[in-house]
Amino acid sequence: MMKYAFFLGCNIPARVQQYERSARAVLARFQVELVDIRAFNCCGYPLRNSDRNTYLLFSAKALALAEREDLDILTLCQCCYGSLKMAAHILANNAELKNEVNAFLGKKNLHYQGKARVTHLLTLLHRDIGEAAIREKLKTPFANVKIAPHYGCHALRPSDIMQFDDPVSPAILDTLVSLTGAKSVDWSQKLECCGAPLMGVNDDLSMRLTAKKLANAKASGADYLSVACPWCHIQFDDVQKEMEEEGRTEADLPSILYIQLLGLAMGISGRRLGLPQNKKDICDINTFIAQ
Amino acid sequence: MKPAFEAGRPHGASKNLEERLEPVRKMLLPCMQCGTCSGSCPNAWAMDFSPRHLWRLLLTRNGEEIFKSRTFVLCSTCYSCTLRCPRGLPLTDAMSMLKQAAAAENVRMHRRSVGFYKSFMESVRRHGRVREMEFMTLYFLSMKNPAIPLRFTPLGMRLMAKRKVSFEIPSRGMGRLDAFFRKAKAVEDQS
Repeated sequence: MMKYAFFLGCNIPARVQQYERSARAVLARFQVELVDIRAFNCCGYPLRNSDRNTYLLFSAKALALAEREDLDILTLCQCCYGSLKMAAHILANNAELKNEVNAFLGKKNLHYQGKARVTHLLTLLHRDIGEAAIREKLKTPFANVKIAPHYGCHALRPSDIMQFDDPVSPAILDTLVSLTGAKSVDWSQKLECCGAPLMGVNDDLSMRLTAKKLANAKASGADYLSVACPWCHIQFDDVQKEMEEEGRTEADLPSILYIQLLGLAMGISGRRLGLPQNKKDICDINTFIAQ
Repeated sequence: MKPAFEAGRPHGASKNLEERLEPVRKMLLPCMQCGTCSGSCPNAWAMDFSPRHLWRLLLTRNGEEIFKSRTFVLCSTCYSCTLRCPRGLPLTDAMSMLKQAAAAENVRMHRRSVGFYKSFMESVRRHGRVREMEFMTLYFLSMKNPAIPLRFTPLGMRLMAKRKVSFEIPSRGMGRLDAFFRKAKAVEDQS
């Protein structure tokens, strides 16, 4: 039985609740125990480019909390994953900073050693649960649906620290998509930025990046995008809706969280997977389920 | 020439921008100006200086030009340049250090670019995690432009209809993370 400290971060409880619902529903069927630690807060990602020390403290606190429970961390978000891994890397290479952080965390009865490992949901599925076990649970696999997998930058790069997948030609999400019976299409913009980090900084440029990706994925024949990061999902779901209203895109390419896709193929109902909570309607993906 | 930045209320230590550039410069000394970073950057076309050009300005000590440019602000941290740099230089971190310098010294022309994340983190500071409605309110207030909230009204209504945002009156919260911000500032002041 696998057991993880379940780190949701900010965006999922506030804006992408269907991600949590669907992840819980699917992981329960694989006997993965998710431990909720109430004291978890934001990983600090939004501060990485304005106030690095505060970001480090936030991430260190999360890592220390998991360490206290003797658990590894499971994240659903590429940016939480990247931030926690990056913080662990910085602290492992700077003893002075680590002491400083520990002097501070000590006042909260926490201590950071660096024992808790950070795992992303996709790695858990691909490496730890494994293709064979997933295949066993499939009840209603897809047929004839084409999915463009979108990896998300912050899990892949910087690759020497992230150790997630090959940063030039990653395969993990393609493999997982194919497992559900869907066809994963190749598209040239697969590894480009979704635009989310520029939202709020320069909305116009952010939307241009998104529009370029949507058009490219559509041209590759995809019926849906599949993502595994709440920031990317917001960009392809909420922001795409807004872009449609402003006439910035005609791609009409909805995004489905990978875990929702897998859940459907396992026969879990769309409602339990939070499908209706997506902004762009994806409920008709059920029509692609093999009869 | 008008100075590129105006010393406002700094939220970090009051080091000047030149001083903040020094560690970045040191880090990028091995840059051989090959331009792979510019070729890899999805946003280079929108920047006033290409990333390669920015590093050249940095190494030839044109600090003022750097902070007048919006190149580093438009970095979306995809780490493609870091992945491909043949010298193995941490270029995305360098962009991040420039963003942090501009934020700490409150450089006037880049103030807006940190408004979004500052508002996000203000809500986190109060409650530990972000609260959507409060975050939006803080962000719109920081923009000081009534047209912006209007642009988001249709989206907001839809979000509320789907119960994606709740009516929460912005509150002071418990200031749960105050100590973290204070500690980070103390570390900053020491270094």
